[in-house]
Amino acid sequence: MTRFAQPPKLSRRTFLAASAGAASALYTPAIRAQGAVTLRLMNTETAIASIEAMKKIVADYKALTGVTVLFDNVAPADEYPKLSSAMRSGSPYDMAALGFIGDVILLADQNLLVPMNELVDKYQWGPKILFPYKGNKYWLPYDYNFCMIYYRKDLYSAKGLKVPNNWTEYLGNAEKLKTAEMAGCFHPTGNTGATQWMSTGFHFAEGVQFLDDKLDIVFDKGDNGKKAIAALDYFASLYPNMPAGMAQASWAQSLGLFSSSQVAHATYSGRLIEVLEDKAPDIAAKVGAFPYMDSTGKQKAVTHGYDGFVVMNTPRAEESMKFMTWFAKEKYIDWLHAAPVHQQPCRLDIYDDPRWRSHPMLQKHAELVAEMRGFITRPDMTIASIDTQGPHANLKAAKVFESLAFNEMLQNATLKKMPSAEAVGIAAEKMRRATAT
Amino acid sequence: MAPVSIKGLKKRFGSLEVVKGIDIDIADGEFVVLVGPSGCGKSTLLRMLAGLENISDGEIRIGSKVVNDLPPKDRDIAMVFQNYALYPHMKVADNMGFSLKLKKMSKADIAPRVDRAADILGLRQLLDRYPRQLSGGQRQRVAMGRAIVRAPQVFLFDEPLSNLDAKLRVAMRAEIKALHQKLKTTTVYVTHDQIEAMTMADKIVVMRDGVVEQIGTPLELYDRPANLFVAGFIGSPSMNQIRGTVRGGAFETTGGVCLPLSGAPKTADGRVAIYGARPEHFMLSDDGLPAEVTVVEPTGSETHVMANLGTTPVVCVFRERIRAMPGDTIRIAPLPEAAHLFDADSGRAIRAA
Amino acid sequence: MKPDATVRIFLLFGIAVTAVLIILPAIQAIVLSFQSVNSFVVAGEWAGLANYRRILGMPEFWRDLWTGTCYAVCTVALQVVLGIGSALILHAPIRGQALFRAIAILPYILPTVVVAISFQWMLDGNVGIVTHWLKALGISNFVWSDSSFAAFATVVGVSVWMWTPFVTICVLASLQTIPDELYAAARVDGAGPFQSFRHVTLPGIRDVLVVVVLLRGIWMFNKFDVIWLMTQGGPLGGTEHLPVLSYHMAFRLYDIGGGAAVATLSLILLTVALVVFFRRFPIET
Repeated sequence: MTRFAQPPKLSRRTFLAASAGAASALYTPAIRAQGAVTLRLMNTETAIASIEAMKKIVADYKALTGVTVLFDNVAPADEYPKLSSAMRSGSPYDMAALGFIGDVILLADQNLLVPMNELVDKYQWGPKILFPYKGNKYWLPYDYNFCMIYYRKDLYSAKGLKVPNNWTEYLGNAEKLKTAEMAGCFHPTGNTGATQWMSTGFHFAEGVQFLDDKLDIVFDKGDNGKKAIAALDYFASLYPNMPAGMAQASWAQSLGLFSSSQVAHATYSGRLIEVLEDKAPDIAAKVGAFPYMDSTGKQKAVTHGYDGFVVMNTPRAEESMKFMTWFAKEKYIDWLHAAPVHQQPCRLDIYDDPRWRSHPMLQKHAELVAEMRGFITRPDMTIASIDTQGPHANLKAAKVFESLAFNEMLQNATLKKMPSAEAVGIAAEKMRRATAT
Repeated sequence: MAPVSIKGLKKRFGSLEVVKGIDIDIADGEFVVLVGPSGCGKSTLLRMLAGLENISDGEIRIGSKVVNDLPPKDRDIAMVFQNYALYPHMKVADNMGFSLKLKKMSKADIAPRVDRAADILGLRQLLDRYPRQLSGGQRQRVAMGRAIVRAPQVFLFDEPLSNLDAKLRVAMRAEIKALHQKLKTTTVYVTHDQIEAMTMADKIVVMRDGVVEQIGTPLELYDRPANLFVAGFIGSPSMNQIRGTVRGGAFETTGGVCLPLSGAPKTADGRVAIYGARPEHFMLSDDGLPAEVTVVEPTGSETHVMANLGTTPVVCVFRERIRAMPGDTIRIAPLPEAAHLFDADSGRAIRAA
Repeated sequence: MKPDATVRIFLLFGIAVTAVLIILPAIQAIVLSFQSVNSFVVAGEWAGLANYRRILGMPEFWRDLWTGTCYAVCTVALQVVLGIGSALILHAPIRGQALFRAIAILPYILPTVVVAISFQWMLDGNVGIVTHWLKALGISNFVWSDSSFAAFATVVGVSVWMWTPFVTICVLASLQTIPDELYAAARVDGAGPFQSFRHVTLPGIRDVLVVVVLLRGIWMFNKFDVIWLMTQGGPLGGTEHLPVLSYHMAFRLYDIGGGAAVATLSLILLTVALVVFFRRFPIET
């Protein structure tokens, strides 16, 4: 790959400076523009509370330093095209919130990111979040977005059920809670990221690997393949207990069906609590969560949907880094509080910070928050996602993720009733094709 | 060929009556022209004949058959439309043969009939063209050809010449008439142009406001108009209509000028009436009445003169060339035997019994 | 300014806009299709025909080409049939005609995203109103997204619902140019309603139909939004066509060269189809 040896030549700032210089002969006050710094930030947290929080943060920074931070809100799916087209158009972003490790790797490979090692190393981090790439830490993570399985404590006690420890127990619970009005569990199979996030946990708990240490696709190989088949068999056995339309279901349906008592188990991050508090507070008080589990009860898993900030390699990188340093020190908690339960901190000092803990939502759901923190520390816990498979951050895993091979495998098993062994084989082939280039 | 009989025919659109009870008898092979100003109901009448409009009341017979409830195709008629109504995507031959094709006639049977019609109308060279490749006159001929091909009992023409320029109109007029003389098919022809009516018709039906004003041969209508409307409608320039009173066998205009009459009925004496004199029925005469010329329009073959007879404006047409200038006084005399007299209230002609 | 100078300036402006907004991006897409490139920021490496070789060997490409062709043909055919039908109804002199015409155009002016999401909710397997109705009719197990065929039929149905008004408007406008006399002539010639339609109406709207089929064909073949919003090409690729494949490759799999090659192949195929179409249905002047 041809790389950019130098960042883009005509940047906004040099352009501004040049025009200001030219103009100064005629209009002296314009010289002040030379000193004013404007940074551009691409925000991918598009919830209103997050946007409001970011507004406040940049206003505070402006008041403190005089530096203007302009930010745009971009849907996460569009982050990479948007970043590259902004660069192409000559007004690149200086910082960005990214949620897909493939994007970070590609940008780093093109020398478009500035390493953030110094800033990142100041703090203690949970596992599986830094994704160092070629020895550098290119981003400042802020949340895990763990996907877990929610259950209704009231329904559990009414039927005398206990939190499931293995596949059989979970399937049993789903079956027992299933009624004409209520489905047993919710794991989508459609071609959206919701599927990779909400329906891969059983595979990961069972120990399935997608890539080996040499980054070869091993999804269907040997023992690993057997586990993949077993987990798919299990998924297919859960399927009859799911609501209709799993091939189209996405994030919204999980929230909607659970908050309207149409499904007994839902899959989501802490966002579900926030939505329930808003829409169905009576249910919010009665929910608990547990991780995905394996067939034997030995291992558990949650899938992650990490987010973090990167600093782009623009002439303003130094200023950007200053902003990020200040943000990490002063505003990190404000930012997390924009979605208090959803944005589960990956920085370990946060959990003990009274400022973070004081948020009423976190107080109210302290038990759940403790359970979620346990996902980071428990020894029997696998934290995984298809795009972060492999021994280190790599683009191949990202392509396996985006190939939708896993999604189609679930569809084959559930819609076509294809034998799991065949579906796993097809999926592995598709992963190989997608990673061939 | 067949006679057509129309009895008590009425057409209502909602509460609006546009044809108000019409009786017309059309003999076998006759060429009848329906004429009248726009809105008189002549086109509606034709469309009722064609079966394109429902009949509100009355009866239409073609031949011996009452056709009131028959669809157009079963009436054995053919119609030529004002805008030709040729199917734009069909070649001339296909346009002409279309009705036969719809009758499921075989191609081999259609072709000779189309050829014959094309020969009659001189369309042979145009059979492979599309309507858009033809001139207005050619299109009109194709439209007629389409009618001829069907060999119907009755031809219906709906103002077929009004989209042609004046010269072509005169030529086509003659052609249609010649065609009729050749085919002898009963024809009903609608026009608002009285010259077309006069030149083509065996029989003219003058209509106004949904009723028949007069039926007769062209010359009957010209010579003996039944009322002021017909008198004014037939003939060009229009008949002069002069208001006044009948006094002792002569006519005194409201302006006090005395005009000669011949054969006015005794009963008319003293009545307020309208004196009708056609422009061509004024003679230049030294004994005539003095009239002041206002406009002179030489047309070459004749001269149209507008003049004031006392205070009454009149139009005269002379075969002679006249040197008069506006402002000059000429002496003119109406032909008493060609003068018409109409009742001022009813507009009906006053004639000796 | 001389009139021909004015014309020239407008022409130049038009050419400039076309060049900047259409021709240059198209050329760039074609150039990208010969490169191995995973970002719009850096220059790619020349890859010759490798992308094309790879894509022509992909079963997905052929499947998506077939799906896309079926989608375009089905949606255009239904749009044309329903568009003509509704135009004929709206052409008839009925009370409240203006109102009905306005209502008939509504789907076309709704944003696709609104339509797609509305239908998704109406068809939702749990809370959708359609599901509810079907249950009332005793059909309890229909889930449109659970089979490739049903999902395909659904996106076809939604597309037809949404874009038929375009055909309706065009045909309606064209119907109004057919003189009544022609219908009268056809009746006198012995044509019934069907033959009138066949010999007067259809030829009368033919040229408009040719253009409509052409435009709708191009648009439906390249239609991305409704499919992406409703199914993302699923389930099991049942609704995946070339635009979705191209998007997925270029923007999700970091295979911009491959995505561009799919788009270029799609452009070539469409161009060939258009040439064949114009040969078969020339627009008469």
